[in-house]
Amino acid sequence: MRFPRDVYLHAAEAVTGYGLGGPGLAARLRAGPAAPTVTIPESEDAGDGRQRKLMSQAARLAAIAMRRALAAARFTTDRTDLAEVGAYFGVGASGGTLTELSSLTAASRIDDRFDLRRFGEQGLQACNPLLAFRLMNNFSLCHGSILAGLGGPNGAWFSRGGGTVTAIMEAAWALCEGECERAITGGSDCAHSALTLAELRRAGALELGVGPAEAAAAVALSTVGEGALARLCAATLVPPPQRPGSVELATLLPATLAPPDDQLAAALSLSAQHELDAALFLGWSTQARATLRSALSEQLQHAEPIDVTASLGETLAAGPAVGLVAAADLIASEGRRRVALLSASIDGDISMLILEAP
Amino acid sequence: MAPRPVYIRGVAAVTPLGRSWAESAAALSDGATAIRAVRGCDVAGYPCTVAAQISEPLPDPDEPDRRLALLRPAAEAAWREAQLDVASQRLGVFIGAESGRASLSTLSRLVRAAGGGATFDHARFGLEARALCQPLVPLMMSPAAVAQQLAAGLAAAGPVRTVSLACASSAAAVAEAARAIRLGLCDAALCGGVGADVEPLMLAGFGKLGALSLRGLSCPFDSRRDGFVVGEGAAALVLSAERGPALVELCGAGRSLDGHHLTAPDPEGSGARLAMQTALSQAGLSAVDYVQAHGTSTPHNDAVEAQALRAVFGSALDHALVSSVKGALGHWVAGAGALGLLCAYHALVEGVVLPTAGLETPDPACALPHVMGRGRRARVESALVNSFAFGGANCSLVLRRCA
Repeated sequence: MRFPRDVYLHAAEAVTGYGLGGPGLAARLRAGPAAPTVTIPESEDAGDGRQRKLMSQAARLAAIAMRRALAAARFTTDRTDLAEVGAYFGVGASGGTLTELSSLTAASRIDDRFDLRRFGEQGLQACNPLLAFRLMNNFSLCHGSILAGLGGPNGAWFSRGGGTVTAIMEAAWALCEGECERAITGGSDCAHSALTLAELRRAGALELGVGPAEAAAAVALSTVGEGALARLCAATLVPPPQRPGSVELATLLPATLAPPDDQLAAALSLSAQHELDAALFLGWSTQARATLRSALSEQLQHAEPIDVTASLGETLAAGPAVGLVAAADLIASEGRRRVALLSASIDGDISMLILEAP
Repeated sequence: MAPRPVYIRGVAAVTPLGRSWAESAAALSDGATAIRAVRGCDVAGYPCTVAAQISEPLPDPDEPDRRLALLRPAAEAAWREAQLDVASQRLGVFIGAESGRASLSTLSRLVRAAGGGATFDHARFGLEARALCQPLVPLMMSPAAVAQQLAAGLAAAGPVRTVSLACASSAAAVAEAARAIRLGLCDAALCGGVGADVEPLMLAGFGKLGALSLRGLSCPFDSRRDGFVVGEGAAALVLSAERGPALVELCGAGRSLDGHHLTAPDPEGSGARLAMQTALSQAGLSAVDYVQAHGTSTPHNDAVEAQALRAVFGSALDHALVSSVKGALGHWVAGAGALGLLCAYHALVEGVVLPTAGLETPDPACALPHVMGRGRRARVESALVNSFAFGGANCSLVLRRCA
């Protein structure tokens, strides 16, 4: 659907295995794969050492991306002014790490068996007092907003892709409804988290062409067009025809994506209304991505769509946000007029975002 | 075109004081409290050894995910009460939920298999992950599992959203559902939240943070308060663009960030004020008859909320009533906002304002028109519900009686 007001991107910043930054990201995605982990220059890190001890890796990456996007958009010229800036993020479930649980459980055993009373007596002494901070999903949003001093309307959606598109759309709607004048939106995740990695492995996803990676990305939105990189002109999130009733990994098969009456066709109908000159896509498996590539190629006249997942790796909640940054880069750095971003998430949602030159 | 109004068509809950909302509300009105010594696991030595727990067996004893075992019966009851006939594509599901938990014994097995020492061996874990993860049951861990499974049960093919915003999760989920209906993205929505955090890891985690009551008291706004008490339960409601027999409209929602500190509220209460003012402004109101406060029983939060309420309403607050359900049912974290909303709904529909259990000696720093002891009969035309989360995310909702 189209938004009732114009919503503009004023900055688009990514924190990925390629490094930090939005400009040039599309070219890097085309050139080859990113490192699966992010190298953070000390000067770019989030907060101070004490603050970082409170952060999961996803929260740390999100805070860096948010700060860079706020600065690039010049939203940070007056801190008191940030009180009305909204924040909408897709957040993953990768907050806690098993490393923190190791010392806790090791101290709680009697005869090689976990003992609750011993946990209360010795285990708690070994427990990182900050553990709860890392376990709560919303802290990927809150650390960055606290460091930046954001005070506006907000939301954190659990995401393995689709929730991040929801966050982006909700930010746009908040601007359209006048809930705030400016907002930061995006996503952050770390698929290297031991539990996430184990889940991917257990479900056989690593054999589906998925390379787990970590990333974060944030874009700065406003309803003011002057100085903008791009305009977010339409978006849709199409749920699967039938909810699977489980969160087992979705393997999207070409047969289930066949137009005209399925959800891929519904998502593609949005881009079919626009003349595209570039497109990007993210998908859960090699097979799904082949389907998405084929569908987008039919809509593109003279260009190949960019496979974000193949280059970036599977970054779950961060994926669509990184894709959005790359889409903005295609417009701002490479002069494209209209770019589509198609994503198929693990939970079965398919989304389409359309960006135009401002 | 004017935005579509949003009506409340059905409500239901499963609480430690009852398997239905009517049963729970009756007990709450009598001044009952569910705060007891933790049952089912040995918590000797923990910072806080009390909680508000649902008695076993659970309403859905075969469901391995405690979140679903609590929320599914409430969701089904709310849906039955709503008596709506909605096309599946026009029905959405919006749930506030955090991650489920593997048991500590399961985590212990995982850690032991990954080396067993105080240092986690990632390489070994990675090699053995497939076998190790079987007992984790991803369905029980994912925040999204709750909304997905409820949607599957209702055959809802509209938007399905999981909001993970700590203590503001379910209030924000209700706000999202209302916005989706207003914008025409769906015509009806099941929404709500669940808290299932009465388990060793969270009792330890919150306890180590110093957030829980060492005295074992949940007494919001009382001079003796020293922390919150964890509770569990589920609250669900059905919102609709179609009024039908609805008596109450959800007419305002406001959200803000403190941008101040991870656990401590902004001492000025500016974020809380902004959320309340935005919700009131959206509702076109400057005062309400009743406030269901966030009121966690923590020293700073209660004082800041009281100060923020004074700042927002001024002398009009003296004509209202204020209470917090956490005194009786503890803090449901992700489910707290939805439970608070049901209390406000009860005041509007039944004309009974539920009391703040545990409140005996109001703190002068929290001077508010409290409802203490038993429920109080009152004509309530409008109500405000507050949810203020760890991390500084705030959400306020406004309800009013339909014209």
